[in-house]
Amino acid sequence: MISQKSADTALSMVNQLGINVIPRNGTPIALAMSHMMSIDLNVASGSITDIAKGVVSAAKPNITGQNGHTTVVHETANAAVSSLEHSIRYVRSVIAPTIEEIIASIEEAQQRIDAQSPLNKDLVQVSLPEAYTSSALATMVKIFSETSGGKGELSVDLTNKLIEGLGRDDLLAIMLTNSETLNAQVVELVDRMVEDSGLSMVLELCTKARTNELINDRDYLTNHSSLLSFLFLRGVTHGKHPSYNGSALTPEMNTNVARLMASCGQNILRTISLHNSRITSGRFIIPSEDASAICVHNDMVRVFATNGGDIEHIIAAHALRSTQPKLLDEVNNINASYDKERLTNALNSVRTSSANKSQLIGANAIRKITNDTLTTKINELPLAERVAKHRQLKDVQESWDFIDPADIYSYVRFVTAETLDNGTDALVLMQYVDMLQRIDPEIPATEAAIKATSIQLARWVSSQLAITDTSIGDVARTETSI
Amino acid sequence: MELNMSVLNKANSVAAIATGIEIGNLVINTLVGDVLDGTHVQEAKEAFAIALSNELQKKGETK
Repeated sequence: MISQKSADTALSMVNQLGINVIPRNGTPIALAMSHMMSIDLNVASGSITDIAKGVVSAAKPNITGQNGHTTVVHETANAAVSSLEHSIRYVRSVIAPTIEEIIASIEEAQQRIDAQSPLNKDLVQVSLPEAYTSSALATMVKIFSETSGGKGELSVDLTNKLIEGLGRDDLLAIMLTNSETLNAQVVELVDRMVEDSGLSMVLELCTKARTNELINDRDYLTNHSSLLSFLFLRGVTHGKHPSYNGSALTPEMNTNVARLMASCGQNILRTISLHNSRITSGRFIIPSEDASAICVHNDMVRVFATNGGDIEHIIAAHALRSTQPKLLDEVNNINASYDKERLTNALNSVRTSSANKSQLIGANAIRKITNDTLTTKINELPLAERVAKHRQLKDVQESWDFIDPADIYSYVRFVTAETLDNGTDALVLMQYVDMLQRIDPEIPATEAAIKATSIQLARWVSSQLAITDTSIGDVARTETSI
Repeated sequence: MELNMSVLNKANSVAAIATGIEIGNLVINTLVGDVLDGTHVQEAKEAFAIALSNELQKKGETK
């Protein structure tokens, strides 16, 4: 049976497109039409409406009441529904999750690659703890400016006993001074260090200051063992330790503590001196052997930015330090008086080189990740299917030459669908969904899937028809829309 | 007779395409009828008809 509406729509198409079609032999449409009665030309020759009516009439049940056309149409539709349902299920349950898995792995790998970019350096901003600026501390250590330090080392036994069982509050109580300002600054420093390194590390620092090595320009902003040791040992000698005080120590111990305190006091003075020199020089980049980060003085880099300096120029100069060492030297000035055009050019060259490198690594990584994931999926299949699927994966990979970094998804979709597809036309279905979503980004996923299915259905119906003539005569020809 | 052949060709073309439309509409009814309301089912059928017309046009152009 053919409805009048279907016949009218079909007639509109024939008229609009100016075509004649016949069903291909052996197709369901050919089989259905073989059950139609002859179209009555006397009825059909009058007008457009008559042609459509003639077609409707020819598809009606025969005199015995049987309707082979309807039977074939229904059987064909049922088979198509079953096939499409399988396709949709396969896309949803196998192909789409695999694509998502691959894309997630690629994004993860890309992030790792990006992190290696010379422009992706951390700008670590450090500053001297405020405790060093305390006038109370300056008074305490002033005496050591005119004395020689010497080596003051505490025995392991004494060290362990001094720090054993101490909590954060005990430590701060030992370090307590008469200056409330300094006390608050010490609390802030200790708490930050405890948070960063843990209490046991901080306690160790309190008794193991580096006495043989002077604080240097590289580590004075981050190495505070001398300050901690000084304040801790001062507390011990002032009787603030819960178990030990000055009188409880042997003369030899007292000598060692005094020497260590002197050495720490000198390091504190040196730290203050190094910092003052840095401020005077205006050079805010802290020399570092760690290539993964750029260490800068917090307050000074802010002044640099206020003076028109560009943080990206620091990063670019750092990236080029091995080939153009003078660039970093030039930028390293709080006044930001460097040649900005030159540094912008340097930045652009680093960007270009970084992008090229990233793209090349990305393409290789993308291929490998896709291949590895699909290989794993194939190895989960029954043994008999694996060899063919592995070969299919290889062929599909080879058929895709260039991976567009801006459209990795298309590549992954193609390779995944074409490799895993069990004759479901999954790729075509997904391409239609993607096309519809590109045209209308707001389209709900279900609607896009249904429209995509409609398009695929139309493609299948069309495949059963052959065009016989594209220049049909004027008989009953009008322009109508579908 | 020439007129009758043209009419017959056209009528057969209409019958073939209309049969395809019947199949397509039945598929859409079954496939999406449970998910969408009547309006959306009709829209899906229209999308199918437009897509079929496009496919046939492409075929005609490459003929």
